[in-house]
Amino acid sequence: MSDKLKIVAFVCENHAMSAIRAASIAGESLPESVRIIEIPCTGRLETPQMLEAIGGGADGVAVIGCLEENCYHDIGSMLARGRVNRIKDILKDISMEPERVEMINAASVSGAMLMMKLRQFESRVASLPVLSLKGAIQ
Amino acid sequence: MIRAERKPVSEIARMLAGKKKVLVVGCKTCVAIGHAGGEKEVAELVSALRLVNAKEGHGWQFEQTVVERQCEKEWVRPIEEKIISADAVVSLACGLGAQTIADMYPIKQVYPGVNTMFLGVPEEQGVFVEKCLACGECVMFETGGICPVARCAKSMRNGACGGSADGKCEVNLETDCAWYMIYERLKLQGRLDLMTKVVEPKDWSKSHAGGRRKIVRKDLLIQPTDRTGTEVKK
Repeated sequence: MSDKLKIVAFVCENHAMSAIRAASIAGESLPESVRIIEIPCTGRLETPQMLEAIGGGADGVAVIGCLEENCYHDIGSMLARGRVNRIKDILKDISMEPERVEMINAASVSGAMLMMKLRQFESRVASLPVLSLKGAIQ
Repeated sequence: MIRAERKPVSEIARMLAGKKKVLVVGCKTCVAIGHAGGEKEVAELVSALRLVNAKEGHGWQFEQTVVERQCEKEWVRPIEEKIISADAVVSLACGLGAQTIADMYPIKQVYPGVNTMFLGVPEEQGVFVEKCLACGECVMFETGGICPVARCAKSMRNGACGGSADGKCEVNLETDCAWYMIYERLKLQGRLDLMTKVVEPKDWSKSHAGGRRKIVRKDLLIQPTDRTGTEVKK
C-alpha cells in the first residue's frame, strides 16, 4: 500500500515537528507514504501549495499543526484549518475527493497519537480511487 | 470598498472550455483587501484550474498577473501584451475591472472570476457587511452616521417600521435593526428630536433606478478652447 501512495505532510516546526521527533525517539516511524515538508507555521501555508502538491502527484495532503488552543503562533492552526476546509470545498467542486486533504493537530508530547492519526489518514486515502491526472501540470 | 465573492472553480472551468491560453488577472485594491481577487486568490484559482486541466486534459496554458487598480486604464495598459496574446482573460476584479479590460480590448473574451456583491466594510476577520447602497443622495447627517437606505432591510426613511424586536430586524433576526441603532446613536448625541422629523420621500431617480449614472467634473476635464475662450469639442 505504502509503495504506491504518496502523502505530502506540511508540518509546523514547533509542536507538530516535536511530536514527530518524540514518536521517533519512542521507536515509532512515519508511514512510508508520508513525505514531510517542514514549515515555520501552518498558518503560513497558502492554498495553492496544497493544490500544487496534489497536482504534482500527491494522493493526499496532511497539514499538521499545533493544537488550536496552544498554537505556537497563536492563530496559525486556526488559519490552516480554514484553508484546509477551503481546499476540501474546491476539490468537491471540481469532482475530486475532499478526503484527500486533512488537518491534524498535535501537541509536542502526543507523538504516538499523531502517528495513529497519520496511519488512519493514510488508510482513508488508500481507500480512495487512484488519482488519474492526464494532462501535464504547467 | 467593493466586495466580491469568488465564483466556484467549476463554473470558471466551464467558461474556459475550448480555450488554450488563459490569462488570470487580479486587482490589488478592493478585491484584494476583501480576499476575493488579489494576488493570493489569483494563485489559488490558477492552481485549482491547473488541477482541473490535469484531470480533464483541456490543454490550458496559464499566465497570471495582478494590477494595482483594474478599473483604471492606466494600470491595465502595462499588461496589454499579455491580454492580447491570451485567448481568454479571467478577471478577478469587481465588475468594474472586468469591464475596463473588456472595453479596452473588445475583441478579447473577458470572463468574471468573482461575483461583485456590494459596498461594504470588514466587520471582523472574514466577515464583510454592506453599509452603502450608492443611492446618490446621502442622508446620514440626520441619522447619526448610520445609513438607513443600506442598513434597513426596507430602506425606511421614516423608521422604525415597528417590526423589529430586541434591536433585531424582522426580515433577518441576525441583522441589527438600523433604526434601533439610529435611535441609540441620536440619543447618545442628544439629537433625539431628529427621530420625530418627517422626511420627504427619497428621490430614487438619483440611484440606479434612474438609469446608468455618470459624474462629470468640469474642473477636472482637459478641454481645449479656441481663441475666444470657447470650449472646443475634442
